[in-house]
Amino acid sequence: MTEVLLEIKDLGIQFKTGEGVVQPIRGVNFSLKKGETLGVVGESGSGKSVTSLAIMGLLPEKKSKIVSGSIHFNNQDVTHLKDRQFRKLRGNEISMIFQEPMTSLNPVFTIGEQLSEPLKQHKKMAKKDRKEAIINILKQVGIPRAEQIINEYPHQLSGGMRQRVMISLALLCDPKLLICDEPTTALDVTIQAQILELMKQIKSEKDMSLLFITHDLGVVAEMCDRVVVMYAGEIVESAEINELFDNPLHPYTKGLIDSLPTNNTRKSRLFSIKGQVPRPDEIGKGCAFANRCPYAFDKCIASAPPTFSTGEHLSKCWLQEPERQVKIQ
Amino acid sequence: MLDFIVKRVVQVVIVVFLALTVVFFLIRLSGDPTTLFLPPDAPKEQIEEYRELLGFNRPLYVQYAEFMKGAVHGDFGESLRSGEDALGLVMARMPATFQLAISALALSLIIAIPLGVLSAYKRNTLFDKASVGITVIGQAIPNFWFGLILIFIFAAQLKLFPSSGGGSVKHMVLPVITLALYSVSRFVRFTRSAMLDVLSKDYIRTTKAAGTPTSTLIMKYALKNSLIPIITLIALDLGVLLGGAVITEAVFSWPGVGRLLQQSLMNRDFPIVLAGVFIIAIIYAVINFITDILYAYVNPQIRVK
Repeated sequence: MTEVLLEIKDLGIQFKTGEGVVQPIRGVNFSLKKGETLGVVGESGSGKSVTSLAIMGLLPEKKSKIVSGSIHFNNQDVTHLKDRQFRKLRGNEISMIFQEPMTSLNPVFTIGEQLSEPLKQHKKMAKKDRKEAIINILKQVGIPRAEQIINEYPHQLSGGMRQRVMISLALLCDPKLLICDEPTTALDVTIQAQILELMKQIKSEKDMSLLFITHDLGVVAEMCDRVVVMYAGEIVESAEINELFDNPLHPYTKGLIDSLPTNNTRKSRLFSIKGQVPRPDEIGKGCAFANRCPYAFDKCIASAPPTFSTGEHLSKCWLQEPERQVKIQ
Repeated sequence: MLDFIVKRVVQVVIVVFLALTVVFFLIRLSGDPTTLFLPPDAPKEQIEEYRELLGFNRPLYVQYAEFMKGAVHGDFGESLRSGEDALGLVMARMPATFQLAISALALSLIIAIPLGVLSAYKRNTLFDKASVGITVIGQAIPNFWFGLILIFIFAAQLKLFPSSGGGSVKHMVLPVITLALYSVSRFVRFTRSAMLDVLSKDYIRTTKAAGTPTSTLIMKYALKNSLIPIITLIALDLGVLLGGAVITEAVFSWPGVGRLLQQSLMNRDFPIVLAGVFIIAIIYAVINFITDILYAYVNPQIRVK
């Protein structure tokens, strides 16, 4: 069995808000093997981004707190790591690509200046070597005339180009784990396809694990080996990619798959899951999805389901209780 | 670039022309200067004679045309009081005002920018709350009152610094502190809010995710972005200070432009007032010009091609 790079156990994160304490992450478990691409799927507000920020140690210090569980990265417990120590991992062994390429680069520094930062911090490279390394990586991510681009400012580049710069920034120190938080959401469809293609290519060239956060199951199908589905701060289902699409066990996953547009359903309206993700303070003692679930019954409202497993396929739904085992096709 | 400069010079000419025109007519509303030069019981004929001598008996538009003709050649006439060249008198006072303004501004920035940055970084801590509280008080205290209190404590009681006049570094201490109090408060609050705004931006998160230490993050990557609005405030402040900090200069009898203009207004010494307005308008225009160039330096998005 391949080695585990990232292991998250029973993670719980609380946030202080004006109206009191809420807990957007409630007992998240998953692991990522070396060289694997894991998709994290869910609607806005399901806790995907908060989880990834926790892995980067970038949760807002004063407002949030990890209240339970642990995060292990490369056999090191990083759950309550001091910022000073976390800094050595960030941009070095763990990197992240953010959703908004348009606003994620500093407008008053050149591309070259911004890209030299991780090399200065982690590799202690001399100026000349840094320049060479930067031009090299920009070429790898498919940026033309890299020698000029390093002296240009972000506003001189298009969205797709900026995202390529963001990717190169994340790759500079050859990270073991690359977290991609909706890297293509803000881009138009053709650019999106190019960026996904680029990421696949980089993945195949480098020995790297990918945590791919998205709300788009289409992107997941394209990129990932395995998927975890998040809903309201929990993981409701996790499975190998083909298994998940062929045989979804949780009604939420089923709803997400049914919401995908296909080529031959032009005539009717797209399917959508009714309602929206509950706010953390709206979740009762039952299953968080119960109020939107077409299969919900008494037990779903009375108590929250535990995780049931069928081999590697995990789901958090009363329908999968061993004595029930309902197929939801 | 040349295009830019030409445009700005034309703008300056228009601004100076308008400022002089407005002040020329406004100042006439303050009354006839001749009455101030003659005893209250002077006979009517004598007043008339004096008015004719100074040219105040001619129609206003003739006086205006005459004045503008002179102004174009840099001639603002002589002081009604001393008979010296008005522009020369104003220029003689400029160094003192410059000295005070630059010192006060430098002191404010040295204190306020680090304080503002620290306040933003330590947001909602005791330090931040104390600094916000103190700066509110600093902005609320009137200048003249604070100046008088300083004179009372450090000049009258402790006898550490002279209470009035100019000429030495010791003379500068109290007026500079008086002027800096307000500026420091304004700059601290402004730096703090500009910094808070920048710290919440996506690109700061990106830099943090690259493993940048907090000190570099703030002093390099965040500060340069915050400077854009701060430069505006510096320009405004400098304009006010160079125009003559009238009240502070009066309180400390500082031999600057502000005090000269204030006295000239009281004496209805029109040529000096107009020469002063001319100089101040030009100073404002130059400051604006430099500010625009600084903007382009700090913010590449508005750099002229």
